Amino acid sequence: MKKNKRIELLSPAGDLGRLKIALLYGADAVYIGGREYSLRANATNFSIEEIKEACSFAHALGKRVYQTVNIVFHNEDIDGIYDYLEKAVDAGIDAFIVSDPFIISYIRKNFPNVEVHVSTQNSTTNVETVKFFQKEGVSRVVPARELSKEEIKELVGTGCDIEVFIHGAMCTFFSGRCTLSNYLTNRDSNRGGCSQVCRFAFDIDSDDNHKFTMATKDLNMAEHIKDMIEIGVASLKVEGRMRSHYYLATVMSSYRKIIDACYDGTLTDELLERQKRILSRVANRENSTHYFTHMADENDQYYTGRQELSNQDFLAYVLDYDKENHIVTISERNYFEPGTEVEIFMPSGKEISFVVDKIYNENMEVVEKACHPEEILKLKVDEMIEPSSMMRIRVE
Amino acid sequence: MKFIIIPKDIKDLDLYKNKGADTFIFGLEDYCINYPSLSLEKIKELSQDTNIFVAMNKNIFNSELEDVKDKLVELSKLPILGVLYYDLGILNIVKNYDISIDLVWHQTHMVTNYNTCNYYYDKGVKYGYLANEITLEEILDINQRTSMNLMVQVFGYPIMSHSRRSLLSNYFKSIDKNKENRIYHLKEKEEQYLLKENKDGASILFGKLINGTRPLFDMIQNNISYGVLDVQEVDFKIGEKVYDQFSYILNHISDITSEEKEQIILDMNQLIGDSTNFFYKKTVYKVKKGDSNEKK
Repeated sequence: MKKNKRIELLSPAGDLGRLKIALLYGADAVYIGGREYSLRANATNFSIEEIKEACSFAHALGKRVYQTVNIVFHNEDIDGIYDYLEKAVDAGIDAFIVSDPFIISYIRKNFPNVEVHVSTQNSTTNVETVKFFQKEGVSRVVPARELSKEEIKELVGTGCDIEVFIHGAMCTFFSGRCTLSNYLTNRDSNRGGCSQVCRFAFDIDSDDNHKFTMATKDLNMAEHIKDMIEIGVASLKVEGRMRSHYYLATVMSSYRKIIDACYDGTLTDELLERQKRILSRVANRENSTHYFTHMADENDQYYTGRQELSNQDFLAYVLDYDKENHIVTISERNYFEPGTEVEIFMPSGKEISFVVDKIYNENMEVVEKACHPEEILKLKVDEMIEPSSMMRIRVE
Repeated sequence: MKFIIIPKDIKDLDLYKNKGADTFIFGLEDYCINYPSLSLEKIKELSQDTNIFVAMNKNIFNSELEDVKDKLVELSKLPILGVLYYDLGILNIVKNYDISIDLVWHQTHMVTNYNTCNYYYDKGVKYGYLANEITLEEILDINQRTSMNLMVQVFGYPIMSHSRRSLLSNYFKSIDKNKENRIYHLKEKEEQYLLKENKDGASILFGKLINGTRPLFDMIQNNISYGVLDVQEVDFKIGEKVYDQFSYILNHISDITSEEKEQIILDMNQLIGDSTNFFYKKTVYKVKKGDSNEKK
């Protein structure tokens, strides 16, 4: 058992830019999809050249890259897979995340130095299934998202690394057990085409006028990271390969702080509450702990259609900092004006907050407000700002 | 080919037996999803004079493992044809405890290629129940490339999804109304879906019956082992006509002219609708236009 190993924070990355942000903001590892065989077929995803660059970048930071090859294969998908795996291994991939078991034995036999992780697509719910995969040479299992803390703890007891989802969107149905997308939109959910039919609204043959919906609230496990560490979970996984740079930076940064505080013994209610507020603000849906703490019930779903809020907290991306003149150059994302209370959060975890005074354009001419996305603007900030930092509305 | 019937319940058994049906699937109480469920005692009794496969196709949780092992041991003592499993924990238990029982790989939507069929066949799994979401061409190709005995659903409502959540109960709680103990119908645009719930969660079925008449001809000619008729949600009057017609095709395949074939298909379309599900329709999964990596 690897109980003493520090828990891993695992981020999604839909492309190279996102991968770099996730790693800079605190992820220990990232999972990516190639252009083939991945369950997010419509994310940008990575070419083999990009995988090579991703691995070089991650490895230079002492971090790891896992590649999803987790489609449920049809006959036509089989022929190309072997060459593809070899290219990914040559590019430096540390592990493959798979769901179709025939690939497991192939990888173990041909690439013994590459780990195999079993995808949540397999909806592993018990220790016998974990043992089955262990015998096949799997080093890590991502179990079904339908498990309680006690059930996860029992899986950890097998000695297999257990990776648990902690944040992001949830499936209404068992992963792998849903083909709504196939039937309603002709898009194959088990080959990366999921069109999120579980978020549609349906008529139902009951005597009322309510629409039937079954969409779930998002997952947010910030409050239970300490529990995860205590029960010996190996990796904490965040959902969302198609999420934005800002979302990834925020989520990674918050969980990094919580994890580090757990290990340092500095986790306070204040710290936790602040990170929970930050995480809630970056999401566009309500959240819940779902099965980890209770059998998911009526409070974990939506019933009156989608209740998603747009979020305009992300104000600007930091491009540069002029140390001599204390000027930060930013690329604007959302409206702000002099007097707006903002904070800049940095890859190192450092945060500074201030009230915006004057806003300058590229020629250092004062402008009234920042209202053109991607416009290059400048602000005077006394404190040193790290590259790749981000500016948001101040979270009280 | 042989036909397997999934009846509505045990009361329908004799009706189909009288038509000549001799192989059935029942679910084991507490461990099946979308099958007529029977207690172990009833299965013991039934297996003495009826060919049955037993479905244990739910996701198994840790607290159930010991009982699952005991049930598998008991089932192995019976003259049943095999156990349909979804959870790989069942395969592990059977192997680990050396339980002598034939298994049917029944991971619902995941039984989609010949390589994985062969992977499980090499582990001693004799049967595979193919996913409803693959094409006839794929089915025939799999059959050619595996020694596994394949089952294909040729009639009935296909299951689309299963959740651990009590979707109906939750919904009715949210609107402060009582849920009735029945199948509910969902509608989106012009399509209809069947939603049912039990203590293990909720399942949604597609609202059009699979009409496998046309592909049945090819499946018989290509020696697919089993055609599955799921008659759980249809009247016996419909179920028996489908069984009769399919039996006629099976028994007279070499004598049926192309004109007669088309007439049979036409008649069946009138009886049960013309949905051939995915037999002739490929799903897509990359939707971006001009993506050079898009599969042809």
